[in-house]
Amino acid sequence: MNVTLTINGQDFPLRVDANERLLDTLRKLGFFSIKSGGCEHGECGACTILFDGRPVNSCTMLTVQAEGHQIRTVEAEGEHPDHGWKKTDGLSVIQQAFVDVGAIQCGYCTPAMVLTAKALLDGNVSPSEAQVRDAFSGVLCRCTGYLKPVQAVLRAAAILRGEQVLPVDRPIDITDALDGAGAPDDLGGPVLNGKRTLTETQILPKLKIVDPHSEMKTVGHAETKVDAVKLVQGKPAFTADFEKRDMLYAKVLRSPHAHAEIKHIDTSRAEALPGVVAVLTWKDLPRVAYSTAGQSHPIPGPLDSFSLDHKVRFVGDRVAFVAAESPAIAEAALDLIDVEYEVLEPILDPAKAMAEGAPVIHDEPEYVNFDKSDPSRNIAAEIRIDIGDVDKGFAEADQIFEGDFDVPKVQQAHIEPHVVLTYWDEDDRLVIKTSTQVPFHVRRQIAPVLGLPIKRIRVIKPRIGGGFGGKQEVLLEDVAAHLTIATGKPVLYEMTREEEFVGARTRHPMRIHLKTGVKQDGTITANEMVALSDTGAYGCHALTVAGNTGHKAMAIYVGDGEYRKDPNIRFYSDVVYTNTVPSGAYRGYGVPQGFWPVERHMENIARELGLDPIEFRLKNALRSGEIHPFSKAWSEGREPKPETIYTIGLEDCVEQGRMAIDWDHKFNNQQWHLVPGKKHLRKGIGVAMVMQGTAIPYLDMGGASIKMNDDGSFNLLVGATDLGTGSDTVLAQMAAETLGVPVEDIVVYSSDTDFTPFDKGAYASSTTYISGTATVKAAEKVAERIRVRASMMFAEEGKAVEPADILLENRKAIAPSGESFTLEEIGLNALHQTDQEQIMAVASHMSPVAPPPFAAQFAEVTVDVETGRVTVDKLVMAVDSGVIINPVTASGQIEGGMAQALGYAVSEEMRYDGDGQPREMDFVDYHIFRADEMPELTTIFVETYEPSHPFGAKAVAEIPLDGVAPAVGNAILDACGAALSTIPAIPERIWRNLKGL
Amino acid sequence: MIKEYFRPANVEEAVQLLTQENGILKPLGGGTYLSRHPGDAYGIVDLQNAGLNRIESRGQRIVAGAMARLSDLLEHPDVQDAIKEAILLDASLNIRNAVSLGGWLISSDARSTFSTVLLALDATLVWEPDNNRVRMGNWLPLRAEETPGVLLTEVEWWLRPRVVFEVVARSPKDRPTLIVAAAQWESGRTRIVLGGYGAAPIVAMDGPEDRGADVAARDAYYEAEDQWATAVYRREVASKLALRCLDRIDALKESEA
Repeated sequence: MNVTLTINGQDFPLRVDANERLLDTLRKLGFFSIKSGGCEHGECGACTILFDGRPVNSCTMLTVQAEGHQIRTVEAEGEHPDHGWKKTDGLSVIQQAFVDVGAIQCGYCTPAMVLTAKALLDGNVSPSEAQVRDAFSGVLCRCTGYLKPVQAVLRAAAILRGEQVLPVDRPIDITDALDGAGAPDDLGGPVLNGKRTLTETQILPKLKIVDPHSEMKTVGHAETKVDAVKLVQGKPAFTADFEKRDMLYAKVLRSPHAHAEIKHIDTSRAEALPGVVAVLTWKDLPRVAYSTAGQSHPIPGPLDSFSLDHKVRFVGDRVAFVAAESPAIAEAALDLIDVEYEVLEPILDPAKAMAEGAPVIHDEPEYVNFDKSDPSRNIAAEIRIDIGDVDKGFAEADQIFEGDFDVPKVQQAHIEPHVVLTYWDEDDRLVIKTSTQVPFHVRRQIAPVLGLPIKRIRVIKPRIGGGFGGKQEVLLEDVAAHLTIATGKPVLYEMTREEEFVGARTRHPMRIHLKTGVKQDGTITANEMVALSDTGAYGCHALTVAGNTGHKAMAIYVGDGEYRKDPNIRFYSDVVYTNTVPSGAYRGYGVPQGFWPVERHMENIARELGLDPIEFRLKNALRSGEIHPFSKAWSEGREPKPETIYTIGLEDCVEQGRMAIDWDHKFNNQQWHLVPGKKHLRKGIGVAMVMQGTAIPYLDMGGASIKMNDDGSFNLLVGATDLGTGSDTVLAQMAAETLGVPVEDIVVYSSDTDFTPFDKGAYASSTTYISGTATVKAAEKVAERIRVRASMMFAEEGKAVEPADILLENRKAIAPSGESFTLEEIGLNALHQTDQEQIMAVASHMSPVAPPPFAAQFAEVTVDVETGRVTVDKLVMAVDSGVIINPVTASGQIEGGMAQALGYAVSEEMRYDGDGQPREMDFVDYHIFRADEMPELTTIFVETYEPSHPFGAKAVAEIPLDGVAPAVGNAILDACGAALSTIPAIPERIWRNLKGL
Repeated sequence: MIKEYFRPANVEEAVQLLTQENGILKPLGGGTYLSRHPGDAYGIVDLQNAGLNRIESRGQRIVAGAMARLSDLLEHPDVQDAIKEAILLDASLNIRNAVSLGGWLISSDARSTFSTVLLALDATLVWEPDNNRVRMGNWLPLRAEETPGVLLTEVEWWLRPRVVFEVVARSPKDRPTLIVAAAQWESGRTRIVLGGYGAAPIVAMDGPEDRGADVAARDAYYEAEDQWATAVYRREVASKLALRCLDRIDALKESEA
């Protein structure tokens, strides 16, 4: 059909099919700011456009419907202010506000949010916070928790009204920051008609600063994210935004059965479909057993996966690959593949997986064991850790407390689906451009699967639209790569949202038994956890996730007195196969599974013994200078080495958190628990204390390379992968601080296996700590060369200045006399003038320690005791992550993490029927929190100075996932007496508990 | 797969297209569902220019064109607050801006609060050809099997009854697993409608007074069990919420007195 679209004021005459989606047409025309979340019903809103001024989803609109209407995209908003000789008006007010307040994390949904904000502010320049949140109701964000995007819109509104707004990065008065009674009211937020909302005052988190007199110029400051300007414009920065000539589109035929043998497969009808270029089945590919878990060598898990197999092990398992000239043809070809299955009995209950006579899920002879995996018993991993004398500890206890707890299977739900583009380059090397957290692991692990040496593979990681562990997996790169090998052509494979639910990875569900011995005074004498973990159909991350469950959640409470010196802790786990979608890595990596039972159990014990729940926990918690109890016993299948923990700010976190949520006024205050005029409602307050890790000691390694340019700027090349966390920015901040330049002088590039140094990737909360230390090491080497050269240059002028006496600051090398050379002068001198050299350095870092961050999580809820419905009203998290490199990006991590953890607490779960058919296959049934239903979020950082990091930092990314669920569970208990052992806290679960059913 | 596209300028043209003998044309509202509808080749009749987007009060009823967007209903001053609250629960801003009233009613299931509230208000649907007026409660059970016409043109409902609803969901904006809506006329006529289970909301009670609402709600959802909630839970809580709705209506009456 012939249609004319009017896009950003310009007419585009087109010929399109009647069924073509507007999203596809606009992207074909080059409007790459419009993203796809792979959904079918417009749930995610990443594809938002303005349609006659109103935000709508372009994925659910036909192109032909749009004729005669005005379409607007972010491409019509502002742009970079400086394009060389051509100056522009710069970013729009809204875009600039998003950049300024740190509202952009992965940036995948940012163009949609900017457009939505524009539509709102075009009609109402004084919106309320509720109106802003409603405007964002159609755009899902999994990174930010929506707080900073809302702040951005309110700030933009104030600017558009002509009001003055304060700079975001104002110095924080430590006295104000520590005053919990009232939030300091001018920490960078805009004045809104003389009124303030809590949201507006929280652009910077509350911060108890370790060194209030620090003179650092960039570290510790709210520097703008280095990728923010690009992302706010919706530039083509993500994998699906890159296209190649003659590119084919891949689709995967997936199993309708949970457990079946493929008896016969006929692809002839599919191959005959015009436009189909290749159809691959298990018969076409070499049979190479591998693990999809993106981990360091050797993989700490069984090799139990094949690109394609003659057996399928879950609904959604791969059956065949198709490459075709269009996605629609590839999709149609899937229906033409004839498969005859012999359906086998599935195992869906992990408790039955190890039973004698149970069906064996992995009976393939190529299976490669790791450690204690035993496929004949459906065991992917087994852990037995005994620390101290647990039985003696139980014998010495006054009381033994036991409990059983369940945590569900949940999805990472990054808005950008898994996506990969593969092609042969001119040297017949395979290029894999992929949305991955682990580019170097992808290259190493996929090489044998494809029959290529590592040196003939290049993996490029563009921007990533969220990962949360879901992209710590070699999940789909082989699909496109096999098809490129088969066809010789570039192949793009982008998973749909349904495929994300049926064919990607999830958090491991677990059933956990806890047993704790306690003295009457509250001293824990022994603590035991037995965890049955369900790895699904394949054993990716089976051992290490379960190990982490014990390693963190069972380490925080060591006991008191003599038990503190020699704690008694037992952690046993069986990790079993079932015929469900495989579990894998998910932010928190086993630790949220552990803290739900531990912190609910501790609450139960405290209440049973009549002890204050906070005092009871702190009495038994780890303290500074003590040895991490598990460091003597376990290290991801490697040799353990004892590790002393020097920085523990837990008590301070508790104090700050309890003040912020007004614990002392609310806890045990019966009047506060009542809601006037609503006799069916009860309010409750709860706490949880948690710890995480900072990288994996003696294993995780990251590298960095820094090169000085003619103008005194620097290229920082890192293998670390910024998946929206802001790690590129904090690495640049640390380099800039070391080199005495502003962050804008550091040009960051990540990651490309051909050009950037190795980095194990973005996981285990390690980038700031490991890759950051590598960056500082490289920067120090470069700084040293700069000082030497500056000394030479002073000498040429007859001035004797020792390199060690030269200060790098304000883009200058400054002698004690105050005389200086600019870094531009030094760069030109080094590259062009005297004893020429390229000032550059490479460094890497591996840590012998993994200093844990600690946190106190508080929650306030309201429970409807007649229905069991719970509303989470407030979440406060006080975190010890060491020194905070960037308070805005760090608080963004906490806010987004709490939002994700909130879903884990009350709403998210993946369930299966008796045949293994999944209940959740989209964002309609798998509900993730929207902007217009979020509770109030408060983040507090309580700094400690971690001596093993050059700037004193520890991790921040994963810990917000750990405490929300138990804090909410404890608040529910406090509100109405419902003692939940299972999450999510759905209404019927609470109702049944209250009814005793 | 969509093969043909028409954009009629009025209802008559639309009806003419949709009554063609081969019957392979389907009406298109906002497009949220049809645009992704696979299957056999068919054509679509896009109703955006058919003049079906008016919203107006007629006596004691409000009449909305089937092509009125959900966002139009939110912005209309005569539409009851309960309807607006229900729409806000059902649909995000992006969806509200695209979805038509008719399309929503035709495609929504029992977990739609908006549909449940409209049923409580005893809405009537007008179909063409023949200006066929059908009560929503009569249409819903047969929605999948037979339609009263080829084109839904208008939806109308009572303005005056007091209407409230209660929902149970996992989060404030999640799709509810249980909805109880109650509407009460000045005459005392009381309708209790339940949603959250099955293909469509159902009328649990429509009587001259409100007595027995809790029992009616319990009975109506006695076997309402699915993968989202058990029947025991739904029937017991529906019973409670029916009474709560009536308490809220009483409170409304008191506040208006």
